[in-house]
Amino acid sequence: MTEIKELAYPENVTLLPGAAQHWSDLERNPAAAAGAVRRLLGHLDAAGKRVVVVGPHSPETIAALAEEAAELVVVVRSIPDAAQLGEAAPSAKVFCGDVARLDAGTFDLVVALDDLARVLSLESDIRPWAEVFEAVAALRSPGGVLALGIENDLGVHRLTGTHSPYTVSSNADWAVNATWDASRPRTSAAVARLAEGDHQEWSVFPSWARQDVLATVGLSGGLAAIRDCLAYGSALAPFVGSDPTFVLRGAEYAGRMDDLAAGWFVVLGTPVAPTVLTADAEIVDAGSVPDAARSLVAALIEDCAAHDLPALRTKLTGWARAGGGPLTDVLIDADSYHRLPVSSPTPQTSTPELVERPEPAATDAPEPAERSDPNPWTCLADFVNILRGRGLRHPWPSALDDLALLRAVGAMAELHDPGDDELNTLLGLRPKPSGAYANLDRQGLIALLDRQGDELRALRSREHWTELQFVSHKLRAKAVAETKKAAKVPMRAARKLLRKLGR
Amino acid sequence: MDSSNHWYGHAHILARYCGLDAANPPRIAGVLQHGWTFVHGYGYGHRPPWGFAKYVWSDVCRRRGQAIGWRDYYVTGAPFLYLMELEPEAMDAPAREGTIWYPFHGTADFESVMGDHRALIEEILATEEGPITMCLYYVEYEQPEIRKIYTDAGFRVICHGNRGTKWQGTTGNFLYGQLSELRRHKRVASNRLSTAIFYGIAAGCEPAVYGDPMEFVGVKAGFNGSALLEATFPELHGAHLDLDVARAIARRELGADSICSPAELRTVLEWPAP
Repeated sequence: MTEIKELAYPENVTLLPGAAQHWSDLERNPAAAAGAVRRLLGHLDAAGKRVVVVGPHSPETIAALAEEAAELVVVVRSIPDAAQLGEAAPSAKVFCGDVARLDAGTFDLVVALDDLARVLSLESDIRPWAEVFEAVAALRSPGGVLALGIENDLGVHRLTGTHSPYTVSSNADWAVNATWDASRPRTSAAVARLAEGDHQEWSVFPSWARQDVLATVGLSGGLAAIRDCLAYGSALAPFVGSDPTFVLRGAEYAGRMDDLAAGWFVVLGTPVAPTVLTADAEIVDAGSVPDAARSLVAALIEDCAAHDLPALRTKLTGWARAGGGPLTDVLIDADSYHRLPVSSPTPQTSTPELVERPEPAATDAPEPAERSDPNPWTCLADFVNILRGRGLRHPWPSALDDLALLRAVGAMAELHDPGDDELNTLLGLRPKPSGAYANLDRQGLIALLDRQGDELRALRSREHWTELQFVSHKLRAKAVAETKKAAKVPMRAARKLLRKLGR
Repeated sequence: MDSSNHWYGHAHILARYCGLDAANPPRIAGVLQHGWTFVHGYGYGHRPPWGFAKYVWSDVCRRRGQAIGWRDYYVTGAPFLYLMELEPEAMDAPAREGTIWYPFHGTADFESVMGDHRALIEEILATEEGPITMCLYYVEYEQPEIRKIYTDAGFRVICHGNRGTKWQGTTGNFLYGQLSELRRHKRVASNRLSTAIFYGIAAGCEPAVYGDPMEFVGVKAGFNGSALLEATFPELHGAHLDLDVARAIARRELGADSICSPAELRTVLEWPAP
């Protein structure tokens, strides 16, 4: 869509070299819009400080920081964005253009939670990531804090995305090589090397666009299990791109979840405490979740691929007896089942307002009994849709329709069958993958084609068998009729002979 | 395909560069950028049809175009640079002197310029040393009353020619004359950062941008650049500028690193071999 934007901005906006007139980043996933990131932002303690925000951050975040900080300076590259943020925070000074041209001194807190790829303007010459980082880091005063976002080129969202950054050509792709040079950190260890002294580092899941789960880098034990379970559940839906489950499962087994994170947030200048953040909670203690616990839905998907029917029966029965709950919110360790302290984020999760000083929820999170748990059949309907939507391999006969598949899974869980009407209603109410197929990439489409090919082959075979039955029946019927007809001829002749004989 | 390709003799210069008939350049399979711009390479109302290439001077124009949804850009550099390669400066050229001054101009199609020419003259006289050549755009040059204002001030008044329209009336050697005039002068100046300033820098002049920038009458929303240009090109505003910085910016804006070989240019313009 061609869009020429009028040059207009409020008085608290100052243009610098590099200001872009006909462009907006705020229209495209502004930073710090996700609830988990706002929770992180709350830890930065902007109160009474001189704060600078570099890059496109959501207007709500800017307005909240303006209220908290003693002085707020914002630097963005888009003039329309500068105008919007200037109006959202009238007390802030908004500069639009190249951050290297900012002449406003240093700051107690530097916030750059968007990736630095959106700091350089289309009006600027392309510069390496390290140079942009140096320009942003130079804004931090001695003893100050820098909070930085870095997207991971090798993250699970890249490995399973619908497009390579080298193939897509959207309006945002006017500088495909901007900051994607060799100087960009591509491992959590490389990110850590940016820091000198105290720092915190979080891994981001499931994608850079959907920062649902933040987890301190290097987690172990129960917190790592909770992180993996949340990341897995969050990555499952919607059904876009290649199947992320196998990659995540491999990363989990290899202990490399941090390396496959969608990106990282690093906070220079403060110490670290292990934690997992979502929009709903901050988890600082694994509580009763065992170190070896793993995502139940991941385990079920693995059992399906392995055609391990006994394992499926055991897990589904155990899950149902342990109280059910969304499969993405349950961890399994041998024969024990544990609920996540918070619900697994989904794309439908609403974004809360900025939480300025979040209280750790940890294991104080609501007990499972207090949650409005969905009907177990609803949870299983979700699972059926995951199998169908992702084209995952499963052990049930190919020709089974969704209803029969759901009924089979429910039978394994030993649930009471409520009948066709209710099950059909449940299936119909659950999010459907249809319509999302266009967003599947080659791997996803091939998986779906394989599964649908299996189904088609099975149905054709059944149709052929039915046709043979019909033909066979028809032939048998004809043979009987002809036999009867053939038998009628001698009978007629015998009767005629008897009549002639006078009997 | 687009008559603007012939403006200022751009197509003619490129045809000569490619070894083709400069008097009758072949049809170009797209639209050439015809002037320096701070938008997507083209002016208000100039929307190259989808599917035809947009041949622009610099990559920043391509980036701006992609950002608003346009595609099929090819960065070729400014035809003026091709002309400079075809017409190298003579080793025995006379010493440069004075200033060639380009007042901000309107266009024949869309805009006229509103401003105080007399105030501008006073500022020029207070700033410049040596003889002053006032180069008017043909839109203003064809108005005797405007010409007279400057001749009365003692300026030499010239015009590089007519841009032309619909393949008619183009001064074929427009840029040849402009290059020649620029090479005669020590300084190039204007009241608005514009094409002539960049050409002047490329041709070896010291640049200056000062004075009332004037304004288009009924300027189109999104194309009113004076405030934007002063803020985003501060190095190119003032009576005396850093020449090295100005040259670096001019190289970028004119696409000096994007000059194509004749074979490449012929191919992308979809021209035949000579």
